[in-house]
Amino acid sequence: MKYNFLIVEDDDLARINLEMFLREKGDISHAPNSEVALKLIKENSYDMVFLDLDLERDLAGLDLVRPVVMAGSYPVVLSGREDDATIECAYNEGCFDFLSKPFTRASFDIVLKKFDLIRSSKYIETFFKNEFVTSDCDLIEQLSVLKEVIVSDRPIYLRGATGTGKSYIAKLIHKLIFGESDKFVHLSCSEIPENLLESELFGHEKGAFTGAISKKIGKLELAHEGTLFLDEVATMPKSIQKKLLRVIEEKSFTPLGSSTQVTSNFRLISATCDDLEMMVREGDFREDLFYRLEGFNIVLKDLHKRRGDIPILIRHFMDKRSRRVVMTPETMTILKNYTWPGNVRELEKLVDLMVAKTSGVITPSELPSKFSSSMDLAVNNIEKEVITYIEENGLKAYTERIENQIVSEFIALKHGRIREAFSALKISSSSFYRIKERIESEGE
Amino acid sequence: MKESKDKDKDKLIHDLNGDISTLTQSLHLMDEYISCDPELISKMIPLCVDKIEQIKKDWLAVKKLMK
Repeated sequence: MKYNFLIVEDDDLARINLEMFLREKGDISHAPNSEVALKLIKENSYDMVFLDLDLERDLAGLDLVRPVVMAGSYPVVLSGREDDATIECAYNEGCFDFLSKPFTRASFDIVLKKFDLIRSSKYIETFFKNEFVTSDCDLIEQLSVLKEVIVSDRPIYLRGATGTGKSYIAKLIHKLIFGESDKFVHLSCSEIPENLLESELFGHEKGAFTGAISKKIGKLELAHEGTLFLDEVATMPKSIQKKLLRVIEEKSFTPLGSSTQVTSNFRLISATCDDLEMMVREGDFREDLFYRLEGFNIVLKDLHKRRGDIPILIRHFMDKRSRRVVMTPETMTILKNYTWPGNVRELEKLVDLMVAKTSGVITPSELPSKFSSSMDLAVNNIEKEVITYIEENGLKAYTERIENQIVSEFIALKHGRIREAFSALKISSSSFYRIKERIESEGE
Repeated sequence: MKESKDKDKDKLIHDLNGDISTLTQSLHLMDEYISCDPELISKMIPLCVDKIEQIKKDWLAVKKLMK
């Protein structure tokens, strides 16, 4: 991830030292005193600000810690001062880390890595709040590995049915590792005809095969220093699987019709809705490639297996639209009972449709016909006979009838032993005798 | 930067410590980058010379105060 740094340092040599540590990590600005630093902090957005403590006057850098925090940046103090009072004061002001001069590259890298982790946790938190909405504990637990992807170069393997959010997660991972870089190369293996997939991946020279009228750069080369997202990887033909395996191992390949090797250093994310392990067992997918694709494995659950998320997602998608509408509880029940074969994508499309079409209150009658089986299911939760009884006699009469039946059955079950019956029912003796008296009076 | 004669003993020692730290770090980095970025090293050399001069001045001032 590339960052924006500000170095506040009045000593040119110390500044250059620091720039040498930071130059491959992002863009660097410099302020030689507090006045320039405050101006830059006000006008620009920095990820990290490195502060020397002694600037135009002793400890002037301490006064900058708070404004840096207020601006949303992370201040790191670099100083030769070793006294506890100064260090404590810097931390109390809000500094993120305090490094004693001269610091080593290793200790400096730890500070940057720590910052990476904090930034990614913050990003993941926002992601769960605004983009990937879920309250499912299993899913949140699984996705917590995302914090680790930036400090490891292991590949990422996503498994989940269509519409469960595999592309969303892949893009999030890319953003976590590479920030705003546009080097996110997406290749859906199932969408490209088998005979074109190889050239799509590896690229080709002009005249490499019939129809190769010009040179083409392959996705593998385009993904250099970025992310290669191989979607529906299970559909990749075995001949290409073998070649891909070599690229993953050697990080280099030769485009079709070329004699020059191309090096590409990419982060691999693969995704599928199929059971690759099963395919490996049945000989339909190369075992060696499967183990190369695995690393951080994330299984995205079908929406019907996390029904608790349905109302939250509906609310989330409704809130995103500028037209305000409401949904009746009956409609919500029907949607909760639906199977959602298209998962979250299908749900979002439905919300779009409903928000655009309904009168303002989304009722069951306005749902598309495919939801009728869920409507039946919702109604079937209460048997028709019960509905008729309640309509004729009221709910109180119905609950009394149920109580009577259950108490009678328990008395019979316990062979008339009253104490055993009411303790098994976990009700008080007074409640039990009240019901028993009612049964007896009705029997008279 | 204040002239050495205007600084008290604590300030002199503090600055000496800071300058020696910076210089040490620079020398390590110059050693690391000398083959891949000689242009940068050529920029650093005069700054290192200035730093050594400053250390020398501060050290003489400290010695004077200690006598």
